[in-house]
Amino acid sequence: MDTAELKAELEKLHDSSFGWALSCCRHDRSDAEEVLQTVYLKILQGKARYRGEASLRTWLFAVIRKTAISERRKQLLRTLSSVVETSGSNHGNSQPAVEFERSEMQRRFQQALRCLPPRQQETLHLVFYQDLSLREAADVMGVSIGSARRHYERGKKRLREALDQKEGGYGLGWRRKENSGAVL
Amino acid sequence: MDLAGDEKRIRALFCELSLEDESVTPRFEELWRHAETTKPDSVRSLRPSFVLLVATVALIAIGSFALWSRSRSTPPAQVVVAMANPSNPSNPSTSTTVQDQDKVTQTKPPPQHRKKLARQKKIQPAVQELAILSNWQSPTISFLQSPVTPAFTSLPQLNQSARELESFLPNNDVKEFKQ
Repeated sequence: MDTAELKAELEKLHDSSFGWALSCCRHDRSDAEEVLQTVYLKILQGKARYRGEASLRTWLFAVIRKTAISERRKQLLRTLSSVVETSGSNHGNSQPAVEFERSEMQRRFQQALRCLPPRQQETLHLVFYQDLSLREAADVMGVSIGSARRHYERGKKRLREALDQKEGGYGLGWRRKENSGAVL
Repeated sequence: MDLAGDEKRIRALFCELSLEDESVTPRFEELWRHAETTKPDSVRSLRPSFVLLVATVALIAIGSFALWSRSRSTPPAQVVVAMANPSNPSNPSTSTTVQDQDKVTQTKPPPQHRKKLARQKKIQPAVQELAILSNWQSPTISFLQSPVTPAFTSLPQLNQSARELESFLPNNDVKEFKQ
């Protein structure tokens, strides 16, 4: 696949790539932009090369995930080494205007999502947001399908519980119902 | 994929989230152009502090190697002398060596040489004992010697025999013999 062809394919996947980058960066827009830009740079430099072993989307998402993790590590090291205290630097509050516009339900959902362990968040995002199968999600995360399924089930359960707790006071009527549906 | 109950609701929430994300998604061309114009990571990662650290480590390594090679190439002369005469304890040069070694010890040579000298001092009594043993002679060796021993061990003197024969010859014959 030559660069022009790859660029066209990446452009098609750009929106979902950015959504995945946002998820990997805890919905910090500037971090997600930086990560996605770094991914494109890696692709241009040939550091990340698509060999056709998986679908382009799965490969791209895996690259984004790895890049986000390494960027987060770098950021952590920078934070540790810097003397300046970054008090009050909450990832979710980086854009108060956007935050304000979010619906109450959506805000609570995102808060509940953030309370989940990273693996569960990733699995739910890949399955529900990106509409990937569990096998594809497992490939993106570099885990077995059994592990991905476990993260999916536990994530769903914990998300439901978290939303129940948050909605208890508001009476929004989140149905407490055991789900027998399975994702293949 | 069959979705029911909670899953439908979770999907709806994720759908809403994706719509929200789309509104803040930067343009692809913009990011791509930035990526194309960004310097390679390898150049960016060469920060001055990193270069300084590498240079310091390299200098320390080179300095230590130079010291090590210098200390290896010039062993002290006293050690060389001591090594050359290890089996002759009665030789005054050995005692001189010991004195020299003492001098060397007093002048505090580098740790490597100190170790060598200490090792030399340790083996010195053994060397002396070895020399005594090699010069030892049995007390009964005189019994093995006899008056005819020189006759057996020495070669006949031919010139002397010729002169003795000459005395038995008449004078004329002596002249002819000499010619």
